[in-house]
Amino acid sequence: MSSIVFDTGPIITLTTNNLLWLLEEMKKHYDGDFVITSSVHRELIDRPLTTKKFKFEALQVLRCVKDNVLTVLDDKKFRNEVMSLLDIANNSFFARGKPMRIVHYAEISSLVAAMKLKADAFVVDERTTRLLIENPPNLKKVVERHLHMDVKLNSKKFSEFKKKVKDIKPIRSIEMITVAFEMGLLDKYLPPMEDSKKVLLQSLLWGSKLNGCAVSTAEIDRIVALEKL
Amino acid sequence: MENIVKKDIINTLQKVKKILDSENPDIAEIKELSNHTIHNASIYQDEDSVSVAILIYAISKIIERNENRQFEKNMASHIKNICDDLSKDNIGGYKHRVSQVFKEITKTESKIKRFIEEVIRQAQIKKGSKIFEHGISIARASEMLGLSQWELMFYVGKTSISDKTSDEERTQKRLAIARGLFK
Repeated sequence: MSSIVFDTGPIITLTTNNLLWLLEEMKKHYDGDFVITSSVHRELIDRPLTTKKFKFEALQVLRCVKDNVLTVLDDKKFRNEVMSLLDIANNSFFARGKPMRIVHYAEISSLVAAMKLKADAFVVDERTTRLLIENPPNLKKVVERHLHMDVKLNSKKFSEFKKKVKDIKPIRSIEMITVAFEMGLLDKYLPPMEDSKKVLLQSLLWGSKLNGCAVSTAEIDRIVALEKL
Repeated sequence: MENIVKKDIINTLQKVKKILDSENPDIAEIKELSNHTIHNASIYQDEDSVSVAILIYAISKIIERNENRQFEKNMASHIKNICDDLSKDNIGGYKHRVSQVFKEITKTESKIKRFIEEVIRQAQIKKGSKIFEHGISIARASEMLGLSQWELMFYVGKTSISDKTSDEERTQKRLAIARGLFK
């Protein structure tokens, strides 16, 4: 069975932009499952249900799980692999001789799930996990820039990590939203004005950015330009 | 507690005390000092660097809202005692005193109690965002500050953090992957 694995962030981005319904619509065009791990379920649903803020948002995601739009994979079944990859990731960057714990169990559980399922894509909005997979030197630069010191890369650990994640295809929620836009799934929001498609796409991308998707202004401009609207 | 963490906390708190002792405390400067322990929070991920950052920020916001000379004097006195404990390596005493200061801040007159609870929450979110800015993942930063990812993402999205790591070339590649998934 094909699958697309989601980290916590993209589901949050979709929900806070009133676009969670898009998952059900896009699933109709995908021959497979949309998967989250039990750790991601905890972050998305269990945790905010104990607070007042984002409680209703958590209930909206819960409905997606109940309706089988999202399938939950119990990551306890591959806990050892998650811990192993977490250990590698959190011992790859060193500052003042100390390993930096840069990623969280839930993020790595999603990554391992994507590896095990040979997922068609891994949807991850947050910058650190994505850079670890796509562009680790860039992540090193980010850390160095803000710590104002050299950060050392443990080459052995890092090579190990790179080898394990080599087949992972990361995308963000904004790429999914852009494709949904291309498919016409968001046409009901086209405003009665000039350049309506451009206005809609920009509003979608900016909404995602302002609600936490790690996308830059330049990237938004690039996507809009690529769409040739 | 790492020596460098202890040294930075003492150094930062002494600066805050000096400002609080002055005639007209510079609130902007106190706020800025609240970021000084974030470097260590990102490297060592110790709760002490995090709680000191939150404490200093919360103090700045409370003074900003409710200028109260007695409050400033009390905080200056607490900070002196906190520094004394740390200098003598009395870590247990230090932790107890920090928690007492937080309790004192929140145990206040009811009309601003909710405001103070919100201030501490906002301080946690702001410092979480700073830690994320340093390259720590959002889930890890949320965990360190006792926040949900929902809260932190909601705040981080409105900052310019993402604008500093642009990768337009990969955007095209990701779009191609996404297009290939859906018929």
